[in-house]
Amino acid sequence: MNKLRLMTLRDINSNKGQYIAVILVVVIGITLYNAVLMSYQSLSNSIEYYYEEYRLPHLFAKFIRSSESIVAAAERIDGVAAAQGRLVLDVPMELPGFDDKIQARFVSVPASNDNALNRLYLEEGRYVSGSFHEAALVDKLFMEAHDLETGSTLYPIINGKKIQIVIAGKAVSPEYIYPVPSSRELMPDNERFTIIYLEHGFMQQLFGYEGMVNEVVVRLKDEALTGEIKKELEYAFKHYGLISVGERDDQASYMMMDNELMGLEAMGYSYPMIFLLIGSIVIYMLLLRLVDNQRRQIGVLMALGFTKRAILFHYQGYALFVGFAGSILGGLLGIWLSGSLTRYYLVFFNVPVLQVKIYASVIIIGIVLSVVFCGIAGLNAAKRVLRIAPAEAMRPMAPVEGKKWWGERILPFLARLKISWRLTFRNMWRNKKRTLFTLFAIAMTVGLMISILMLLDSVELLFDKAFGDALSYDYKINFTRDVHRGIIEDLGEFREISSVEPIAEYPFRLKNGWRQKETLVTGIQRGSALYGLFDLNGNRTDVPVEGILLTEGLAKSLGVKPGDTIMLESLYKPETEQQVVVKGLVEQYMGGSGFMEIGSLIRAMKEGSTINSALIKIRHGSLGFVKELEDMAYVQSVKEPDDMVKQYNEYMDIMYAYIGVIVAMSCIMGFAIIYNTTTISIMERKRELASLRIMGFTNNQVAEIIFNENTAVSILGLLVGMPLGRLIGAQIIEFYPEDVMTLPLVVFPKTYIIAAATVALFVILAQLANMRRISRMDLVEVMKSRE
Amino acid sequence: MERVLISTKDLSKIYHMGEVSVEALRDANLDIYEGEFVVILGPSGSGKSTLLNIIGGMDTPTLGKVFFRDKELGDLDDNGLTRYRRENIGFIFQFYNLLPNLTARENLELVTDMSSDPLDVMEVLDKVGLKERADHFPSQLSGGEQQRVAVARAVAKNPEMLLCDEPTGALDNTTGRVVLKVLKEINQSLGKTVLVITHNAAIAEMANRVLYLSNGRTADIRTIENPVDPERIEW
Repeated sequence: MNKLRLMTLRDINSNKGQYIAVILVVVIGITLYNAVLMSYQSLSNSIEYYYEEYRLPHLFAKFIRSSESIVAAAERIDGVAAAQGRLVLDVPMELPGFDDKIQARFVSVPASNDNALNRLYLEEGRYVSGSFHEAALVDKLFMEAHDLETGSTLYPIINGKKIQIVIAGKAVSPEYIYPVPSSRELMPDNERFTIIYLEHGFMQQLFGYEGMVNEVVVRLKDEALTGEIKKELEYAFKHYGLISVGERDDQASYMMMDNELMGLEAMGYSYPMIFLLIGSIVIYMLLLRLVDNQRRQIGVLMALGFTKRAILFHYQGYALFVGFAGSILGGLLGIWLSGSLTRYYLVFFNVPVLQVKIYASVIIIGIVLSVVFCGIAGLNAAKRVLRIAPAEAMRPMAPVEGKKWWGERILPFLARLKISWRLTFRNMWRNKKRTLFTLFAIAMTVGLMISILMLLDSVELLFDKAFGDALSYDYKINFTRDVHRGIIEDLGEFREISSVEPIAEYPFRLKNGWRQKETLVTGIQRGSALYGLFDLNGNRTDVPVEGILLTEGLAKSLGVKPGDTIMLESLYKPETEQQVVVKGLVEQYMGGSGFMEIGSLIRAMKEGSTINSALIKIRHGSLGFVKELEDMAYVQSVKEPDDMVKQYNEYMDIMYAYIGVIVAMSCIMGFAIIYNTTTISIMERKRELASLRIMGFTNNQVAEIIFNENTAVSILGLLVGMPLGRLIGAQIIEFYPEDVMTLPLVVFPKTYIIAAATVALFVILAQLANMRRISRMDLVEVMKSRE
Repeated sequence: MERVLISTKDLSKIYHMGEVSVEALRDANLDIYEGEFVVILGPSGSGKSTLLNIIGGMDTPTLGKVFFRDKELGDLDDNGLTRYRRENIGFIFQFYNLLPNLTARENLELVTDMSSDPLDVMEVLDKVGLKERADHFPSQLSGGEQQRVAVARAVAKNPEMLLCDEPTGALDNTTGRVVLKVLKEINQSLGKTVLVITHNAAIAEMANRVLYLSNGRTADIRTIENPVDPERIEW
């Protein structure tokens, strides 16, 4: 072996601890990179394949109800590859042994699956038969949640009658990878919502829709035509009871998957970069020390006739070794982790054709990234070799120039500190570069930790606001259809109900010039006690008698401010536009994003006094009453605000897993940084520390000097890292799609405390790990050598 | 000059370097009295530094015993040896080993801060003739001045004895003499026992007693009735 290579390997071997610590940081970055990006690739490719093979439509036209002949009309439009009419109807359903009411979405499918749009993937059983026997294909996640099997019976309530339907099989559709009823629902509730597929003609009969459809789905020859053909459809069906034409992006499952993938990809790049950056800083510091320490050896090599370039590459070799070792280990770990990460997604997503593959390109890019990061760091550190003249190198380094730093001149109290502290600050000043790098590395570690932990804070605050202050009702009743407002008085008659308020939630298109946005507008009564609204300063506010309140996000995307006028168009009744004045902005973390007084909302609908939900508060000990309510004919569901929290927490599991991984990795990284700087400090100042020992300083007193430096740098790093973490966190939250929910930007003191405690812990651990270096220092040996 | 401060009994030290064993000290016997100025003379490799390190509690003998008054150093653990060095011994090395980040005064304060009965820092600096340069950093001082700060630092904690390993080894004739003068002055005015090891025979003339070391053995001990003034030493 080349003797220089041999030297590199032996050097690394004799400083194992340090190299292991740096390699660990690189391994973390590369593992994260491989795991997340491979999961991203696997998911993204599988889903793309699934959408294409199973023919996900590009456009979804919703009608109130329309003749089936419009399907042919849609097919005739230039650019349309295929159109399919169908029925999509939500009804309540009962399941023996399950107390809550289930929302069942019936979707009609063609008699043959082969050329269908939204082709079904049959997990088990057989395709729909068009009769009651083996009538229904049911969503896989629902069947699993309830332990249902092919042949089990379902009891949906259709047009007020309870009907028996036998399950023909378990299926999934590309339209419901993420099975939520609408984008208003954040999390799938596989116990209370399901999709049931029936043969088209059979469903028409069953629901009394003979010859009718209420949706036309369209697949295009070219996806780029989406916008254009959407307009054509809107124009063509204007007078056929069209409610809206949605694109894939408006479709709940598609949108959620898209967001999930975008988040995954962003994460796959951002976090590993931070780890690699920090890893390269540690390598840089390590090599600087190595080159300084081996000055004389460098001189000898030069005297022996090695070129500077050869010596430069010799030192570069250390960094490349770390880069290679780290990226190969990280690649292997990443492959392993990506497998479990990807499979974890299957708990939430219906992706039947998921292929977990190893992407060589990801691994190779990982290695390249790692080697480039480490290589640049190594080159920068090693290039000081070029400045060394051989004869000079044989002489010891010029003694360090001691001086007071400006801090002592400006802040006289610093000059009166205990000597060991004065020494600490001067050393930090003397090694400005290293102090800054360590500070930066610790700040990033702390920042990383805070940025990820604050997501939990934000979610907690969101729930507090949404379910603590804002929503003080016990239950929300959703009616099966629009009901007369008089129902509120009827509900009020029940002894068990202590208060009741009407709610109307309808989809509207809000327009400001060319900007428009479809959203849910909520009508609540003035002075509502059960539904609270808050202005941007967090103060309680009320809906205006006339006009509308918008959330900040919606106002921004419409480009309006309070006082401006916008157009309001009911999606149920196109061409019923009316002007409303934006009266103010409100905070709203979930659900709809426009608020009006219920009376004026109903007037905007230009329909009788109908509502579709009610909020109630019940008296103590009336729990049985909820069951009674659920059984009422016009009640679709009775939901507690807590149900959402529970669902959300389940969904949050995947987020907790990420948070856990990143926090753990930050800790390892923090330890590696402090451990390395401590080691470097000790080795660099061996002589100084040995003189102190000889003068009678105890091991602990000597350690204290090093410890002080770590403490000071860590405190500074913490101070910088805290706002930095908030800043990174703000970016992550900003990135979170506003349509889904608006996370408030908040960091609780406990998060800062956790971060500070963690830093303290790894400073102490790194210190303990280095105590041995101090206590085992051979005083005689150290003092004998001149350098 | 009657009380024995340091006494060694049959000291041996064997270094194992790989497969080779080197016997640095063989049955070295020596008594050092309170207030004495002793020079240990010997060529390089004669075991002087090893002897000094063992007396200073920096190293332990393979065989034999060292007594400081009636305390046997072999009975002390690492902490005990640290305390022994802190309270009783002031080391001075060929290369001054000052902390570059501290001024002359601060280098002394570093030591006095942890001593139980230190001397006044400025008085000690005055004694070595560096009162005016108290606030200079080591890099702003000449070699001789740095060595005088090192001497002052060793003295400032008020130890019983100064152990000097080639204190003039890195200095020229003139500056070396100044350092020796300072050592003599400390020996006489403060009554500190001073032990200097050197291969420079000229220095021996200023001592009360000279101990010759050769191949790890005490070859000869000579008492000097009228020690020479360090000013007059030439080498």
